Amino acid sequence: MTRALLASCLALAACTARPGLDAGEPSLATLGKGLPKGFLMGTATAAHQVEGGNDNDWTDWEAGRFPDGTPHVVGGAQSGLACDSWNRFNDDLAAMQALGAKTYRFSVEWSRLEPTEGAWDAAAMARYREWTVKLRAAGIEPMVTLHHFTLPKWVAARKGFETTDTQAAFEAFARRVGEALGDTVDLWCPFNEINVYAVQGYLAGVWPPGVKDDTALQVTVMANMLKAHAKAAAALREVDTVDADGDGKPTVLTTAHHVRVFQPASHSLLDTAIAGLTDDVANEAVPRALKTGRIRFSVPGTIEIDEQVDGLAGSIDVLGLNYYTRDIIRADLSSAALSNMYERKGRPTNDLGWDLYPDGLYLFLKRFSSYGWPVFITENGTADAADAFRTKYLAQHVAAIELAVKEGVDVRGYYHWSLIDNFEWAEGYSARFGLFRVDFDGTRDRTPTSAVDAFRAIEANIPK
Amino acid sequence: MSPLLVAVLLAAEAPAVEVTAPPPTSERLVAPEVTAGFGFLGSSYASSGFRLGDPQLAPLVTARYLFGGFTTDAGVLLSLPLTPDGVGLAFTGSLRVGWTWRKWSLVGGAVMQWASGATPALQWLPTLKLSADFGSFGMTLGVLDELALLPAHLSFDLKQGRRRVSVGWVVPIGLVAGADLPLTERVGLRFHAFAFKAFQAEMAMVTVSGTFGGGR
Repeated sequence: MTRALLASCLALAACTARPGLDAGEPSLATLGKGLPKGFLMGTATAAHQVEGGNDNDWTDWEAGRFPDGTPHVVGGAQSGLACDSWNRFNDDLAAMQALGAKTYRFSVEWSRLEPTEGAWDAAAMARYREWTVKLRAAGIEPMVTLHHFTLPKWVAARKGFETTDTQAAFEAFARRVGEALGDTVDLWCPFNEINVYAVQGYLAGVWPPGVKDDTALQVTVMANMLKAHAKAAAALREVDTVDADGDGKPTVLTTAHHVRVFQPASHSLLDTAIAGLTDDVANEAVPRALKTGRIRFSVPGTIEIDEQVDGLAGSIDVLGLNYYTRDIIRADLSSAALSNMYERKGRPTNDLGWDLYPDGLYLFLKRFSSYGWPVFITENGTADAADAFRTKYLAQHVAAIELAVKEGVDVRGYYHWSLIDNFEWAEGYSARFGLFRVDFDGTRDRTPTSAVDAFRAIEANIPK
Repeated sequence: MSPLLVAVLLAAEAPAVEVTAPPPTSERLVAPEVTAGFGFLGSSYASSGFRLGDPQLAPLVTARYLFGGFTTDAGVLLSLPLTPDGVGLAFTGSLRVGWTWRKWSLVGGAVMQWASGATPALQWLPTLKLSADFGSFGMTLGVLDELALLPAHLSFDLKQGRRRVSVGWVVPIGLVAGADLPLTERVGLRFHAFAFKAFQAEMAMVTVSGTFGGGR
């Protein structure tokens, strides 16, 4: 009680330090010098977004339409050949080398490796192994993501992570990948953005399976994915005993956790409380569960989950943060999310209308440092088809990391989303996040954007 | 509010003021009153040691008028953020009506908040306040009281003439306290403060107002 009252009194003087990083453009001549020695600068992609030729629950979804007739994906786009990275990995590797990148985060496609239950595609696994070997030979540390939003059709048919059964299947998949790639991979990321997957698929209804406004199912899926993460992490630690990079650690486990600043629209109790509730479910619940081993989700009047899970505490070694933007929260009790989320008028935004807000990255780095994990920025980037502001975006966000590092936060790496333009889920090919432009209508050649030089300059400034 | 402070406030001599009986409306529990003041408001949400919050200046005016027992009660508050890029500027107004008896008063109505750039711009909430007199002390139960700044509170007050101190519990965890100090027969000062935590939300406010007329 006393502590709560003291905390409330602090609200009186509440003034969250926002460094105002969006006010300037840091000098590329020095940017990066404030990062720690050994800091890994790299890029990220996901299998379904770049490989092409996949056949999973998303390929079914891409062919479908909402009840009002609008296609599931903007313009009716389908991933199809995507960037053809399955066949053009060498082009991607050359792009990474042009950047001077020291790490690459990519996902392996479950539906490609296990197209039907228990039937493993050895040739596909060999292809991924070829990639990890080539990356390591090029001095690029691979980080392998096991689940980046897609499911094999046979898993989707069983309701995916809505059911507890999928945990064992995912554990088996993790074990198989760990056995095949473990001697070349140390950095593992079982899941990408558990929270986004659950919100888009079960609250917004804009990703498969297209369930709308089911908050109970949304948090149930998140809980089941956390349990699957614990099992996968244990399996990877068991089978990957080879220290590929010689740092004494054969496995470094992380999760790519999407974080988003939720700014109350006003001082009103409703706006503040719902922003806090949204923040708790979206930003805090996952790292809290990973720290304590206790999954707790509370959506008043809808669902309460409070469960201690074996192996969850200690299942990551590094916290991965995917940071892009912030939302303003205005209470709306008629909505399943209890609020309207939107961008503040007058703010600079990217092609998708997302607020360009580097202060948010600084705030999250400071915030999550209290958990005691080192941090990777596992995704950060922007949609900029005109190549107009990506360099500034990159520089401001690296400046946010430098500021956090200066203030004692242990940040170990940065993965720019993305290496190349790609199939951006429900946005199709309309959103261009790549450091390299891909000509989707023609050759699919990779062409550098102006941010490539900035990336190189920053990487070169990092103390070696 | 500490017992010592309560004792001091009740025992304090109002400076060179003869506290006389209130006007005839005092036969009812509350009397017509206008207040105008400045508040310092902090609103934030917090999680695992992280706090996202902003301080705001909050000028406010309230008024109450009785037509016999029929009671009207209105207030406006302007929230002026002191830091850029946090919560937006907002204007809040409330209007309540009800009835006041000799020992009881009940008013209910709506609170409307307009927030700059918000979607939707307007937010409406119900509000309710029940006051009672038990002789040596009074009690107030409020739901979304005080321009909906408080979720719910149960407060008790001690009166001596027009001097008054109050202290109460804010649901679920919090305190609200206040004091009225008369300066002349009809003019006085009101000090008011609250701090509470509800779910992840935290809010606190200190207000100093001038009062004209009034009682309770």
